[in-house]
Amino acid sequence: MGKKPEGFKVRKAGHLVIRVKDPAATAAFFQEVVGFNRKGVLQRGMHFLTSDFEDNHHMLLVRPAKDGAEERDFRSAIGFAGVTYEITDADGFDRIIDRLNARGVGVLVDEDDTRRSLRFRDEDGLPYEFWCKA
Amino acid sequence: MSDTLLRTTRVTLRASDIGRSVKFYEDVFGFDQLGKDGTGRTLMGTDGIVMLALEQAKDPTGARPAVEPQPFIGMEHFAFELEPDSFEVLRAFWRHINALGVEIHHCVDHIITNSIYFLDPDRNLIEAYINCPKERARELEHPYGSLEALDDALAGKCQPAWLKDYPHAK
Repeated sequence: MGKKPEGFKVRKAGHLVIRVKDPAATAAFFQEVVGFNRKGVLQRGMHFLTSDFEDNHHMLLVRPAKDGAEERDFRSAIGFAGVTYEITDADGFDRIIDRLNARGVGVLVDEDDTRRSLRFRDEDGLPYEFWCKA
Repeated sequence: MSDTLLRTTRVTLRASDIGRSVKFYEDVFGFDQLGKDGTGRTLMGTDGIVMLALEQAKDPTGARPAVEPQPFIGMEHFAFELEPDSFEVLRAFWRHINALGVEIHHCVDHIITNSIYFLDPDRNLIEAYINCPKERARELEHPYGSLEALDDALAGKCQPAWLKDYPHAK
């Protein structure tokens, strides 16, 4: 273990910002499925999403892709390979699965003695994982 | 508040050279290696809390992620929050990554945060930020609206203008 840098420390993972083809649809998807509220929709179609503004001002920011943006295979490409969020309330995990199933979104569920997780991709193929303690 | 409470846990990045990326995040953030997950990804973070997972790309010669202002679909950036909430903390981080030779993309006052954006070895755009006083954001209809540059303030040439109203955040 190397020498720690001085004068700062990382408190937490904060947020992901994504560029997508249809930001309004992607934001609506996450509001409906995950229950994110929407805080402060700004100019240029940016959607700031969080579950609790006082705890984290935004967890996911959805922005429009610029003209000419190409699709990317997030299963193999160098770079972004996924984002993970913890569900901290007891009922949220099953609620999200039910909502994804109701929308026909393919969901992979893994469960063991300590952890339950669900994984899915959005309309642009970006991968997400949500998990909770078992 | 939404009906489901969440916490951002981590981002997973696929690296062209995982050894190089692990060293980068150790050096830049002081992250520890916290073991491997079930798929062999290297887990990293502080105080035993995983905030980053790195995996080796099968094709290390593949295209790197596009970076702003280029057009792309996917991650624009991922952000890590620094502590404590003090502008001196962000200055310390700025000095630290300059000393490491990290490529800084831009530095900006977002009102709700003050942020430094920089590139990792695969040209993923990463943000490190401090939270600004919440009262500052509550006064505004759109608390994320400013894009005022912070370069001179981080270099110690001046203080950010907002600090005069919130001296406790120095």
